Amino acid sequence: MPAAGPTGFDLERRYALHPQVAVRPEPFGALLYHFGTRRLSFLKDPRLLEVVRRLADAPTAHAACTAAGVSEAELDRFARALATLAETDMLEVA
Amino acid sequence: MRLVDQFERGLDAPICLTWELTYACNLACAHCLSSSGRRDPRELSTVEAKAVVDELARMQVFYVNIGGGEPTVRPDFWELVDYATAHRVGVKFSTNGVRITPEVAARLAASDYVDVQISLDGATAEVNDAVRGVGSYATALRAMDNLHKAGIPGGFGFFFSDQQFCRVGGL
Repeated sequence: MPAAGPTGFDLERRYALHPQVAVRPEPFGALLYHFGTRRLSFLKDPRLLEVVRRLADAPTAHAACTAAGVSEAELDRFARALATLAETDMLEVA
Repeated sequence: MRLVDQFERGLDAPICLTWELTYACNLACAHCLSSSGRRDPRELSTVEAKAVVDELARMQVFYVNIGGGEPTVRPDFWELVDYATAHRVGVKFSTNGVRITPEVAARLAASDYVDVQISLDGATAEVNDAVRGVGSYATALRAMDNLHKAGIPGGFGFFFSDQQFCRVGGL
């Protein structure tokens, strides 16, 4: 089971999109815009968008990844992407 | 497919766009390129402007940069700002500060979806007013003061002209 990384992101916790974040699907994945920080993020994989959409309803970020079809082998990569989103306040612990 | 190839096809919609809401202006700056000063009789009505916002909201354009002219001299300007932000279209607007009263500043401070840019063309009244007109420096500083007192964090962005380059220290 992956432990919490140095950033404090923990796959075994529940996360949700920050309420001030707008999500816009794009052919490559999605754009996220945070109205509070004025930051823009690119989700460069449609499955990452699927994970992000499932976060709030999944008991853990790990479960959201699994539900979106992310394999265990890909989990580290997705966890890093989610950790970056959490660091920039796009996600928050729910 | 490489990301660079995907971006070659562009985005589904702009991230932001610039909207010259009116050409009406209370100033006549030396460098103005926007044919500004007098209101264009064909400019969009309130209803038409709201329809544009509806379209931006539908496209999920994240914010608009509103300029002019001096956008705040439109009597419906704050109504349009409220309409945009209520539809989750953020607003960043440029102004010379003429309508940024303490009341307006307090209203702006209450919104997470609005940024204000106050235009100056010099760090002193002497330099600025030569470009933007007598009293415009005082107007801009009063507006900044009102925003500051309302708790809106501020910063500077500037570019140089040959008249300002030697005066950067004054900022």
